[in-house]
Amino acid sequence: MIWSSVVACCPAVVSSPERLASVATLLRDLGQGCPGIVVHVVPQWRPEPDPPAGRAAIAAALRSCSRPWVLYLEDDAELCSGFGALAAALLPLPDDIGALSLFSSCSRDPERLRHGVTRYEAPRPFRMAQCLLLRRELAHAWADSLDTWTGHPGSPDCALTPAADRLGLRIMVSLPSLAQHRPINSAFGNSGGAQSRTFTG
Amino acid sequence: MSIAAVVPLIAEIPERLASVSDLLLALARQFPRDADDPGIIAHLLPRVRRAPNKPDADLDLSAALLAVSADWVVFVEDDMEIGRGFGDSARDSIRLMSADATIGAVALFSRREQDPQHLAAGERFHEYHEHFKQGQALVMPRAVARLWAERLAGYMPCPDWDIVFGQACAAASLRILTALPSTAQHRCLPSSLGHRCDVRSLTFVG
Repeated sequence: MIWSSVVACCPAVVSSPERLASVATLLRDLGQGCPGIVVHVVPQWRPEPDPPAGRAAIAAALRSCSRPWVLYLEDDAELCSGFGALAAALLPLPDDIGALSLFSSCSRDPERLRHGVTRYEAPRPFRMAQCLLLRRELAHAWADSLDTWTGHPGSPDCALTPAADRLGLRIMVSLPSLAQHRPINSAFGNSGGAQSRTFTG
Repeated sequence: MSIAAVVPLIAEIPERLASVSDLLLALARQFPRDADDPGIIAHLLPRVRRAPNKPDADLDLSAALLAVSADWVVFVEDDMEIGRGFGDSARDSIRLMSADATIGAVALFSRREQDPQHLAAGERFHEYHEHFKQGQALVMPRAVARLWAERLAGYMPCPDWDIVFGQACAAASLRILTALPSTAQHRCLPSSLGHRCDVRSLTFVG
């Protein structure tokens, strides 16, 4: 049972009712579809966007993961029906892949899918960390990158690419998307809601 | 000082899911993250309904407890209401246990009839000398969580979690104290095992 070797980690801004409701739905769906999974939630009370606090919470969540595989989830992620079986089939990742994104908002994805592409190299820097399967080693390296991140304050996902580079691992995107971005304003103050065009619900 | 909350959750029962949402809110407010405090990470074990002999759930809990890397563990069942003083009571309990290694855990929920008398006498912590079976909300060091996990894993089929916890502490000659007043209360929610829930603390402060 692969889910017993997976920990989901989810930094959650629970002061937002929409995000708290989204987390509850994630817990229900993971409980039903991913038997054996543990979900690490970092609950935060942040009425106003606070990017440094948000980065610190993500790093804490990632660092707390001790199982071999990590399912990183943002608190506004929606999972497709059948997520447990579909995502389990993607594990274990090939040795050279450190992370596999289960969400992508790229406009070219429908065309890729029509041509039979189900996995491709993620654009650099990677900035779609909505729902990711990754190795524990990369999760911890991402946390280290976040500690010293000086890039765009609202894009903590950009710190994943240098972490993967340090470990010599690739970041890939899986099609179709198994997760969707709920239309909730970003906890980092961005106008959120980039949508996947291949998510089937 | 890092703290992990470990919460087994019957995720298919909506009332329990709503209870855990309230719990996450309470944890966020009462264990805030800042430069000096890492806050709390909730380790949630979302599961579907279990049969009365629940070896999978016991093994899941055991594995989750063993995987905790935080210094302290706050174990909370999914049907617990958290009062405003929960965080302070947990931190007081941690200070107490830090100073006295003979204490294995502090229970933040108790439904004993004698609780109001002890509270009226000014007791902040009381030690009951009886078999322990009120483990709905507990604070313990990581080492004690490991003792509990190992006993759960080697004890199938398992009696109730809290009974095993009491046995694990007794075997290690560790005392379990009860904090007064209770800062956690048992909600009357549908039980995953079909039990009727009518065990309420008499000293709970919401």
